[in-house]
Amino acid sequence: MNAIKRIKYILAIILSIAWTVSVWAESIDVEKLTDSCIVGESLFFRVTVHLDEEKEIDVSDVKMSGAPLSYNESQSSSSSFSFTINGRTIKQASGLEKSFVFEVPAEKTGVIIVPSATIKIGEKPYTIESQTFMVHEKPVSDNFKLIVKIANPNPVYYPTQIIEINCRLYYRDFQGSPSDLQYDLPILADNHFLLIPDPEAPKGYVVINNQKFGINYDQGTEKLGGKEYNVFFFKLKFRLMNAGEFSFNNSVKAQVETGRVMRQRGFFGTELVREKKTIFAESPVLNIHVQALPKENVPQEFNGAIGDFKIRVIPSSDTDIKIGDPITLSIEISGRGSWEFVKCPPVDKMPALTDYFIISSDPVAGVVSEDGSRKTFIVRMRVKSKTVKQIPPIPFTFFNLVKNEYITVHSDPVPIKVFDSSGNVEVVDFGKPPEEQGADAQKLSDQGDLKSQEPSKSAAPVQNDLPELIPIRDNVNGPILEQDHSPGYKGIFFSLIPIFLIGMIWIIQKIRNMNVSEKRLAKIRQRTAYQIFKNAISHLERKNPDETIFYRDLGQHILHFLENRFLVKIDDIDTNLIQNFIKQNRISSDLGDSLMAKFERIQHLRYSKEQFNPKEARTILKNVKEVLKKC
Amino acid sequence: MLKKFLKFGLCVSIFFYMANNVLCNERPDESLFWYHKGISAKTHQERLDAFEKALELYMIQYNEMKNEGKTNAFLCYNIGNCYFNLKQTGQAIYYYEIALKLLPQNALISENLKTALEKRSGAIDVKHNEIKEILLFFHYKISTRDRIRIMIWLSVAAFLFYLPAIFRQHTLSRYLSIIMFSLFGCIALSICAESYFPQYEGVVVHPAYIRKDAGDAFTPIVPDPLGEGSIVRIITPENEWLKVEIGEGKRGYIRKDDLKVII
Repeated sequence: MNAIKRIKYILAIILSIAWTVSVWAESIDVEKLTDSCIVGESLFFRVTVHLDEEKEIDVSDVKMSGAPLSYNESQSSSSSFSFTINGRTIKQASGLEKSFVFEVPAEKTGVIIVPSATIKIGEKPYTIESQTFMVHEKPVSDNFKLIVKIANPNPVYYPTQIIEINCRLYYRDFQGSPSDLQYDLPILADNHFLLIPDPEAPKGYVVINNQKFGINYDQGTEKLGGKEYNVFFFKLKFRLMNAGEFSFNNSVKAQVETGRVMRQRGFFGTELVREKKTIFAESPVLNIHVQALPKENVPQEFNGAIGDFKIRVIPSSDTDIKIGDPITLSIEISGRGSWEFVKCPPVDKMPALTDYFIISSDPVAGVVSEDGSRKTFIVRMRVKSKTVKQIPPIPFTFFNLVKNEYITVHSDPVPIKVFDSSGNVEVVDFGKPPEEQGADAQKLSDQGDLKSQEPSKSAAPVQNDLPELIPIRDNVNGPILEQDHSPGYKGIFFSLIPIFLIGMIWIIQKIRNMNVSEKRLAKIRQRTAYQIFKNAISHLERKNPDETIFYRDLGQHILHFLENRFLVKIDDIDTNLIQNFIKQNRISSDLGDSLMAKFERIQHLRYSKEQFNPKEARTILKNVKEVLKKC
Repeated sequence: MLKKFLKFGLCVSIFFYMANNVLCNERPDESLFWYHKGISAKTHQERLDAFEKALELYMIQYNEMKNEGKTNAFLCYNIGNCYFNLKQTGQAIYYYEIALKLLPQNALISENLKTALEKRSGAIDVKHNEIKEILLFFHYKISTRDRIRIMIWLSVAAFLFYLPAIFRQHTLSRYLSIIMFSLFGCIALSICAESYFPQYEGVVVHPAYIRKDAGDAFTPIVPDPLGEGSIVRIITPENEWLKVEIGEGKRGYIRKDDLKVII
């Protein structure tokens, strides 16, 4: 019996170990993502590796015709956790899964076999089976044609020019129109061609280069080779960005109905569906030749503008300035051409300007006007010397496509008035050290380029003549700088404490005043009256009280006590009064009699000729207090 | 006797004089030294170096205080002065505005801010509702710190007036207590409004176009770029492009880098 039990336990342990191993062990799955394709396309299969921990995976053995296949790698983990020990974060993941999607190029028709391969997980090799795919011929048809060509063909194109590409899809003799159109237009993925978006909202969408693309299409009928075709066409506009020779193979794939009906197993049983087939069309090769700009006689100022432009310089700030004051210029380039290629004239590199002005070398971003007719650049400069009378003409060079030459245009000079500041001359540099400015100015004065400049005076005072600073109040120093002026929101809590206390007192008062019974009210009055009495007789409780006023005051305080206690006006305490209180159940008869007796004794002692006995007086006082306390 | 008294008096005076010299004669700090050096500089480069050094030292102190959760209005004022002398009017106005927010009635800061505002070119400021500012003077003209202090005093006063009002049925105390409590409520509301519905303003630190929408491609709403030091009201403070209101109630977008938000 024991032996059987033992075998059972051993089996259970083995099974649990086997289960654990099966759960945690590494495994590899291979899945075909596409079974077949047409020639020129790609086939895909996925290898999924399940891991229990991060390991290095080597898939370099997966080859096709001796060359390793390209793949995309991705990773996912079903659950993960992390913890920190001594500041180090350790991450663990269970159910780690790595996927490799291999791409098999289908270059020829027929069966393609990817041979079995070895995948290494760490040091351990795993073998995956060979994969078989089918590659079909391109299902071309005379009834389905694509023609992609330039709408405005020119023998030569230059960068910045715009070309229009016409895409025309011809089809005939099909049941309905082709569906699931998938265009392959490589020009769209080429960085040398910049797509110019259609300003109008797209009429519809097609798939171009596996991406949804909004187009303004048109449809109609056209004759091609003597046959009438239905035609679906759209245009794409591109700006030529670089020179070079470009050729593109454009194609389209679609689904067309064959006209036959076939049976297909569906969710609700066998269904009759229209048969569809894939159809393919390839356009003749599209060749574009973009010629580079001439390399001879390129002016120094040329910075890429192509078209036909004019330049205008408008001062945006006051032109009556002091030395060192900034002057802002709007350099406006107007005309026709691509604004992407129009950059600010290199004013910071023009000696005619830099010798007399300090100009920031920061790049200047231009702004294209709303109507697209001009681009404006804002440039700031500071005049170096009071001898400067004008901002000299600023040149702007562009390549004119019509004349096929570089043209330089100049702005009109801008007259300025420069005043000398009262003190030293201030020149705030944008980057250059002052020594360099001085040297530049000196160089210019030697050359005498600018007519308005007085060469002998132009460079000399720049460095040492500083203008006076605008007078402002001086800086503050001392412990005042260490004070905290931040809002200090903690103070709000301190301000809320008294408010909280007020609230508490108010609530307590409200609660106390709520539903107070007569009995409780009487008790409160008794306590208050007794407290007042006690305070009043404090002077009688001394060791040697004033014997002349002792009994008089005691009597009066008893009277006041009764007044406070019963809220009545009392002229004198007599038997009738006490009887009334007893009748009204305000005090008990015993207490009333006792009080009356005490009061009579006090009156007696007040007016008797007996010697004042302090001991007796204290006894009476004590007795009175006891009686009144019970009252 | 008189001689002895005079000698004693003389000794005490000398002691206090020396103690005063030792304890209270503060050495001007390094940043102020550089600032003054910048003012008295003889060359342009010397001036730039000195002001930049002073600015650097002030900025270090400013950032250290900021890390401790503190701010000092005079430090901001000093930084503003350095920027002003470096001809960076936008930055100077920004720091003066911060300083003035911390100490709204300070004449020193107001005066320099006024000078800086006068030196701007092409600036357009957002307009303030003056009637609202006069009516709610405690919200606009008193710093948050002072308002919180006033709140503490008002609450204590309300409490002290409340005690005789409740225990002695003192009518005047009751009214005074109600007045104190009402004022406390007004200021508390003002602080709540400031915290929960903040109205941010910003200073343009580089001349920039105000555009119709968030992007460089959109047309400017005013033909010229907004001048450095312009004060604008910020409508949406969290984006790369800030929606702002400039003078005459015009609204547009400005790049975040061109603006500094006064917090």
